[in-house]
Amino acid sequence: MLRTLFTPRWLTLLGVVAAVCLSFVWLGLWQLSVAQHDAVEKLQEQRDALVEKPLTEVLAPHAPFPADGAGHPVVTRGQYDGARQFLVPDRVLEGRPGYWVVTPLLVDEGQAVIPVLRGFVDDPGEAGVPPAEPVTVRGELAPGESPYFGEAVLPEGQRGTIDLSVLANEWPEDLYNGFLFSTAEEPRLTADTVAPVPPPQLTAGEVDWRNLGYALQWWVFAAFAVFMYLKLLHDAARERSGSPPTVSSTTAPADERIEPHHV
Amino acid sequence: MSDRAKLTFFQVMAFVVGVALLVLTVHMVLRYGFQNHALDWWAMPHGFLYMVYLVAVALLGFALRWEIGPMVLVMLAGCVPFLSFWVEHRVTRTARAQIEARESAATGVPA
Repeated sequence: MLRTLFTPRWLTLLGVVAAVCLSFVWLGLWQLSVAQHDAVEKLQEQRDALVEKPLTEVLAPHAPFPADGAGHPVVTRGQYDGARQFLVPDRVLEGRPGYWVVTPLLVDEGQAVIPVLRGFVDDPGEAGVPPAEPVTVRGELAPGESPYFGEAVLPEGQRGTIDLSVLANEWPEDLYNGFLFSTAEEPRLTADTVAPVPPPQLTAGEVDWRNLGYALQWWVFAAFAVFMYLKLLHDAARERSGSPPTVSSTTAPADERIEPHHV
Repeated sequence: MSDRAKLTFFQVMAFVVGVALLVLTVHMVLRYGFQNHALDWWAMPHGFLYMVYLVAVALLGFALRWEIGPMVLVMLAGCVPFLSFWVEHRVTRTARAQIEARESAATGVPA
């Protein structure tokens, strides 16, 4: 087979097959990126269509977090309870490690509570505690985080994650099933040392399955080209070495003898 | 699979892919001409049908010991609207002649 391969004809063909495969693999990757791009764009469109609403219109205390709730802009009015503020360690903002500052906001005349992510600090000492005065908070809704499974025992005033099931047990008010990425406060109660945390960016988590299928198809075609080349090369090599040619011409006459001519 | 069965398989797939490609063309016109996405779902099954067509061409081509060039051209013909019907017609004619010649050679009866 190697002797056949090292002839100009088969080397040229090998080059062609390699080029075809490379472009097909690339086309598949391109298709995949289109898939992700489309998915992000679709989400972005859905999100842009959202108008800021009062918190209570999007979510009620104890109610399950709505499917389209993540990133929904909301506005609410209440009072921070600085005594129950906590920090979430091991968070990153623009590449620097630090802490999220989360403060419960008492809303609905103190009947209900929603955790508000006020911002990010490098050092726990910079968090500060906002005064308990009426404040209007605007932000984007987010579902609660997973429970904290870390080994470390965290210092007083820190929690591993914003785990709403834990908060629901500790806080006596009716808890909203979500938290707020604060984007604005009126009046501004949060200190300048607390850097705002931008609401999560859209990531291409869910890929359009259809485009994923197209990508796979390109790769299958590439594999098929390789298979074709190998098969043809194999046949050519056998012919060259003088051994009988492949399957059909040796087996076909046998079963055609049984089958009469019917054309 | 006898050569005749391979030829029949090729004929069926050439027709199916020919029609599938026409539907795909309608989809393209609707989508890019009229922003109508009604047939968006068709591109995927078309891709799989085309794969089956490639297999059918390869089966027949290997059986009848075609040269690479013609085989690839027949495969590519499945991507050109209407061309596949004409190519199917021509391929069938020559393939049938080839198969008959082979059969008569095997049975010793002159063609």
